[in-house]
Amino acid sequence: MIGNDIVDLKLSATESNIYRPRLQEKIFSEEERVIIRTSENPETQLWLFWAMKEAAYKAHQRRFNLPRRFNPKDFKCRCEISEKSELSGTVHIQGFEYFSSSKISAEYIHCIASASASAERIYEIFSIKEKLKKELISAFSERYNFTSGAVQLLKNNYRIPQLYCDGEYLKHSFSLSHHGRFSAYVLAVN
Amino acid sequence: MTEKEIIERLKKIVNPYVQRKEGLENFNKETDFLNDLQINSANLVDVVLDVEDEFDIEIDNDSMDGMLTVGDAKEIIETKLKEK
Repeated sequence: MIGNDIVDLKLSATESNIYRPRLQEKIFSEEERVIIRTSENPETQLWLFWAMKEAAYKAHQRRFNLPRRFNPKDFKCRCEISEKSELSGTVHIQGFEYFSSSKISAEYIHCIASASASAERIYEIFSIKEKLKKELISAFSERYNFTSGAVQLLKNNYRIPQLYCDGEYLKHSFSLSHHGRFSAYVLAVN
Repeated sequence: MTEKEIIERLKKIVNPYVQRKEGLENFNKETDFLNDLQINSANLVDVVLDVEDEFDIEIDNDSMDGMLTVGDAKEIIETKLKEK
């Protein structure tokens, strides 16, 4: 199962004051807070951890069909030191491990989290929100030879979107995210 | 404090974070912070902190965990006020 999260860094800077007293304590472990505080760029580090937690939350929720919860602090993040443009890490939640891969630019952070370290996936990042569902459906249809007009997105009782073709549920794992100027989908492929 | 008062104070607290203002028109216990008001999840932490300040209570992580609707928040506030 797979999850993703995108953070528009410019919007985050105006929407949230990350130095608000007690805010970081509600979301991040002591260990994570030390990493944020000592980072060269605390804002980016904080939103990276946040995106990792959100992406892992989505993968975890989809995997076990869990009701919604707001428990960011239960998701413990670890990042590997890397010079690559895709930063890998892990997120631990109640004994389960998720593997994350994050792309950081000056404008956004996009994170994908997956229960499997070697899961193949395709993803795309857009600067227009409206396109997102259409783009996912067309990428999916192309990959699996469906007529894109027959593929639909419907939300389940936990408001998780799912793919259907002519009314039939398709068990493919994907995730959508949007924030501010950006949106992104990720689709697990096998 | 009556239920009505708590809900009114909650409405004032969430107002700056609401992205879907129509959601405020029928603000009641069923109102969902994320789905109905489209408060972004990072700002949900601000709502929790504002609630703590407004009611002078502490919302632990286990309580925050289930704070997804106005009704959830109202119940947590009532419980914490009783504990004071």
